[in-house]
Amino acid sequence: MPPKSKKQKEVVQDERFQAIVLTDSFETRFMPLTSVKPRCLLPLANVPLLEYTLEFLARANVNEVYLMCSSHADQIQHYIEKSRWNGPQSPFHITTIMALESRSVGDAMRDLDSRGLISGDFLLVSGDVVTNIDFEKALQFHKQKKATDKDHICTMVLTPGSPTHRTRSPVDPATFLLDKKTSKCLFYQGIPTIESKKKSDISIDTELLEDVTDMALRNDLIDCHIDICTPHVPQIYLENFDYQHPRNDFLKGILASDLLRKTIYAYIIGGDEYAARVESWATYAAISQDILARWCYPLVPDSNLLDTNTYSYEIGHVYKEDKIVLAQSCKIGKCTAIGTGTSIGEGSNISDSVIGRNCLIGANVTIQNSYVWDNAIIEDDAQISHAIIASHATVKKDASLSPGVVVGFNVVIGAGKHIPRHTRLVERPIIRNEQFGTEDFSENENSDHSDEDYNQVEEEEEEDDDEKTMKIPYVSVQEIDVVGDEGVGYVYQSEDDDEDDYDSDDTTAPNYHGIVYQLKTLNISDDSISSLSSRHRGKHSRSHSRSRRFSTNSAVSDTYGDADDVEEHFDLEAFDTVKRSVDNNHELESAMLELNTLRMSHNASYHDVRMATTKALLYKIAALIDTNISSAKETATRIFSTWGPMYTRQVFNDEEQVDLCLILQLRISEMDRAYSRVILFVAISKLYELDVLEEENIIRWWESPSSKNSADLEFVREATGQFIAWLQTAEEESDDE
Amino acid sequence: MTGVISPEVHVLLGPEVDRLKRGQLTDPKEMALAIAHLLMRVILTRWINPKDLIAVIRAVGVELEKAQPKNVIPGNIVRRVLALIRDEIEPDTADTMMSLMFNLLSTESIKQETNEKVIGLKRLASDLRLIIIQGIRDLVDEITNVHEGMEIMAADLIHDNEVLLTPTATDTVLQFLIKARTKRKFSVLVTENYPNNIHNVHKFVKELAGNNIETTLIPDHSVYAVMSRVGKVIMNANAVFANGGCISDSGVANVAECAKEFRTPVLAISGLYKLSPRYPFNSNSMIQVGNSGKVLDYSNSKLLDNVQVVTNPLTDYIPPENIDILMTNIGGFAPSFIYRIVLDNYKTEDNHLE
Amino acid sequence: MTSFDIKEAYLKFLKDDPDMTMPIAAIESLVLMLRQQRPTTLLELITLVRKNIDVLKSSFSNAVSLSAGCDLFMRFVLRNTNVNMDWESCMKNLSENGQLFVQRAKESREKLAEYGLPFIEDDDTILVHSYSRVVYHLLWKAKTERLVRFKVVVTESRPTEKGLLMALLLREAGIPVEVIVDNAVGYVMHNVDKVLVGAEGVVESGGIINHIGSYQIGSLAKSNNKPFYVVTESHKFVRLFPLSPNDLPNKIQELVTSANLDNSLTNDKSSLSRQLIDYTPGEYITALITDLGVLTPAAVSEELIKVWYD
Repeated sequence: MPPKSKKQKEVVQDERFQAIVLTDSFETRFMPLTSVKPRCLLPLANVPLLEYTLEFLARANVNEVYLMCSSHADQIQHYIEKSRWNGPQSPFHITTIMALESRSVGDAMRDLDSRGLISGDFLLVSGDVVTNIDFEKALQFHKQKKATDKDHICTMVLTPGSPTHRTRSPVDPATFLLDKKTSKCLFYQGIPTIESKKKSDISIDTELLEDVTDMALRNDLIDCHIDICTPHVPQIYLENFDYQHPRNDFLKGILASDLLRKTIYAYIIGGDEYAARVESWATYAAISQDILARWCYPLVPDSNLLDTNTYSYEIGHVYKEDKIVLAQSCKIGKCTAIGTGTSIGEGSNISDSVIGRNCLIGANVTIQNSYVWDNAIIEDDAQISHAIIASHATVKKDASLSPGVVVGFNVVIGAGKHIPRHTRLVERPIIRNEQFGTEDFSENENSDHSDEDYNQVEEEEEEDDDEKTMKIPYVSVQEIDVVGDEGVGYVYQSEDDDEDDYDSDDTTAPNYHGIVYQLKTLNISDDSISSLSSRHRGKHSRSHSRSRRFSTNSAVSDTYGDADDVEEHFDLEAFDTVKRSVDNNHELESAMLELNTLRMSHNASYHDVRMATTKALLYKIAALIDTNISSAKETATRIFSTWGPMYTRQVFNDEEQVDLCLILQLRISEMDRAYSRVILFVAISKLYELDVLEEENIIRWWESPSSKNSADLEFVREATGQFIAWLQTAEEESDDE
Repeated sequence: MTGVISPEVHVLLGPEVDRLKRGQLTDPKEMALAIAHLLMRVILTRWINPKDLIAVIRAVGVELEKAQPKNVIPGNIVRRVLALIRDEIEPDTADTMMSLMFNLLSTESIKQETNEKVIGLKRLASDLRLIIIQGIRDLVDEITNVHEGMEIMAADLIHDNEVLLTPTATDTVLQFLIKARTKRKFSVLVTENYPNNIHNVHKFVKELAGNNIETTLIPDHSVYAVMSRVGKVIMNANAVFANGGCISDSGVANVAECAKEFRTPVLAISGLYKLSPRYPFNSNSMIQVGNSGKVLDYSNSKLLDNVQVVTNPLTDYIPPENIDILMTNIGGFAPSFIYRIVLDNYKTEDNHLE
Repeated sequence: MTSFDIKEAYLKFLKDDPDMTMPIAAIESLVLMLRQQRPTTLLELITLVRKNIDVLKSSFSNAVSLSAGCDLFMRFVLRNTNVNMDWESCMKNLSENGQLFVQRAKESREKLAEYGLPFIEDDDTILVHSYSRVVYHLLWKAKTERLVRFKVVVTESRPTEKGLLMALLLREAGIPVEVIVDNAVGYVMHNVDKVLVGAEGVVESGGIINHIGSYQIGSLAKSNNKPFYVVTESHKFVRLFPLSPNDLPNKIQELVTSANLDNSLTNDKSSLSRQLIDYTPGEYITALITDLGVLTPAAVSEELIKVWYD
């Protein structure tokens, strides 16, 4: 975008303009690749992601750039030192800040504030933004708003795009309520993803709308976290030390707070401008395609962002670097970029893909919608679609990769192997020594790749899982089954995968390899769930975050009252609310109302609500039993008959009923074995009486594999067998009639 | 090649390359002036032998061309300056094709000898520096006043009550028409040039109308319909190649083709500095492709997912046979004569900078 | 004084080095002649050169290329003697550096290929007529050095059938080749991206003299809007101005000797017309790729007229 007028330019030039780049995403969505390289150095269309962000800053006439690095900070620092941004001809002064202890955006902002670097308004972006917006206009907007509104502290730059737009984050979509006249943001709420098929509603405090005459509630905005902030912003983060996320905490906090009285505006970019953030594999793929298809012109391969790039453009959006060896009969389809030194064999067919440098691609290979990074080797007859192959990986002869497969660095896939959908492969098992919230994983340095070794790691993970929700039986399968005899690689399993299985409990049928937990609704898109952005909402996140806090080999049992854990926010509060209601014998209605309000304010899912309610009720039951006031059965009956109806506002369909059964079973299985069976029986039968659960759903739960895939679960459900039998006969009888 | 560039020059060059790469220099005149000034600063750096200077400037040229391979202007300015320097240090070598043909027969030793003699006799580097700087100043003047030369001829080319059509809304065409208006009365049809230039065109039309020129804005597709009434097509050339072919805004090739069909004369206007000694090997390789978002709204995801390829070419190549006369600030020429102008302004040895 | 047989020397040069072109062989033999005859005065030199040129030109039927070399040499001698007045040193240089010209000619072929490379693009289909060293060299370079993928369609090029030789050589270089009969040019033209031909000589009108059939290919290319490029060295620029395609100096019907082809190939076809070259006017030529750069026919024309008549 050319600068529109000289006048605007001058405005920028008369002061130093700073930009803060958050190189860490504080997420794990790009695992296992981010265990080796930080996200911002992963190649997007053969150029490290960070380059796009820095290029944007250069176009925006930024004078000073601070890179906040935490995970893999050394790599980023090294990269910047070598790059052209560090030279005398660099358009801005770049400084890397080692913020190793930062665990979230909030931490980084507090760190920033303590360093006292901010001298005026600054631009806050993450190191994975790809955009060609005319930043002058956005800045102009910001300045104008600042002049009219003294409380203005932050301008968000948002892109219009329909809810199902391909670059829209599949992870944290959100709704914005904007004042139509002033573009002031009045309300913000995250909404469930499309895939989750959940309904959500938004309740807006009428007070918010008092002075507003005309407003727009927009669900068509893509938020790529480009914010123009005033120096107040880091201060607010400092004052509110619990703020972590720039939207869910900061934005919501500002909007909800009567005390702060600060305002935030939204700047919505024009139709022919582009802004997106690489935050998941889905957006990675979408943005790669957009770059190839020239949607973010001039950020296209043939603008050769790196000095060493030599791309030239050919009709049909084909980009080729120098010195590519193409066999006579190979076909290069539309929207493809090929790096220098790559050779492609006879009869191979490549389209909608990015091939890195020095790749060896054999004959009759088909590559579609895939991203092959530098130095990968793909042998004859391989079939690859919608996959990502990292540097130095090898796909041997005749292998085929299904959509969603991620092949990690240096992995070798054996000849003729078929890799099932959404498998993520990594060279060595990953040992998690992470602290909360970073992508700071390190690979197991142990070069002994025995299966035992791997099993152990898996089992350790298993113990983590244990404390989350349920046990997934661990089936030991030789890795050879996946990558073949000559292969090198292990299946990487993120915590989320297990969770997702649980999520879709009705189909937790054993997958073909028993070890590959297949994510059924996933395309390449939503293969993992962020820990931060979905913190208050995702059913996954609670356990997810917890598991990350413990080191791998610790099997510390769950503690409910971990106050430091911010992620526990909703769970804790909901738990407290229910507990308080039971303790003080509140009215059922008011307890339900309170719980619902809490859910909405935290943007939590019903799953979370059910979980919290169950926990609270069981906690209460356990406490009562411990005091020996009454028998387990009596206590449970009493509690469930009185408080069971709470579930009526938490359970709406068949799936959710099954989900509730599972939650109950799981939670109860963690209780004292002396009475846990009885309690499950009472819980299920009472809820059946209360019409919370319907008989076919109870039977579905009973028959579902996830209800019996661990010893504990098997144990706890035993007593309920009779009840089920009764249900079944009752059903048959009714059928007979 | 980069080894030739000293750190000092590199510092000068870096920001310009970045500006070119980022497309922050879009106006051709501005770009030409920026490059000329850059070269002036390069010449002010330390050098002793003019040969070294030539090597440095060539290396700078390579970098500049790499930054925007499809734009001829940076390369043109570099070559113009190189020709300037060469004229100073080797004044006698008549650079005709004949002498080039004789390269086959002449022996190298003779050439070497004479060259060294010439350089030895030449004034000191400081003198040469001043001369070259003056030369570049003249070049800068030429670029700044590029319109003047063309305007003089404007009235001669346009008749009274003629209908003109212009598919390019640029400042050059605007000045040309305004100048012609002082002596002639005519009307102008302007094509819309969707999607890349539509805003400029609207401004252009307003400007024309403001200058008391009867102006009509027509959609791009109606060119064929109106062509029979058009007396002349006036187009702006972004670049002119040695064979007389031009690069202009996308859609202009259409208009030129249509004009040929109707035997309507096509008048291309271009500054001398846009004249490139290069040959358009392949017209596709010269065409810039821009932002697809201008063709299709990116936020329209339903359409987006169902469209295979969206392409938005920014420029068109107009072959020399579709152009009747090329107006430059030094006069009007037939496309087949352009090679001569190229030979006059550039040295053949600089056609390939690498 | 007349003991030197220029014709024999010329034929020997062509035989010894199959890579040598006719103009170069002519120049070489003229140099050799000068070295042996050692003229002492300027007049003697000029008469000697002129006489030998006449002998050469009259001895061969297809003297187009050959006369290009002769004319260039003559022009060079005259210019150096007139302008520089140091003809003695020049003479010395000429006679001492016999091999230099061959070397230079090869260099110019290399240079020309360098200029021509950008014309060959990925996925091109290129129509080639007959055999030409420079065209072959350009294609070979594109294939082996630039790794460009392209296909070549070669005409059979009767009656010499040198197209078959071209096809053979290209196939050896790993370039996919298809040979078509000359009559099929119109049939394949719409599938072709560009036409490349060599030239026996480039004339003052900007047109070329080349193997028979070039004219019709040029005219077909123009009507199909396909670029028609001529690849040729600048020492083939010749002092001729043909007015029509049959306005050519080839009274004696004989083979183009530069091909080094076995004559037996064409012996049995003696009944066919022995017309072996034709003239393609400049208007059919998109551009000439020469060692002086890429030139339009108009540029060549004007420059050549200047060279010979200034």
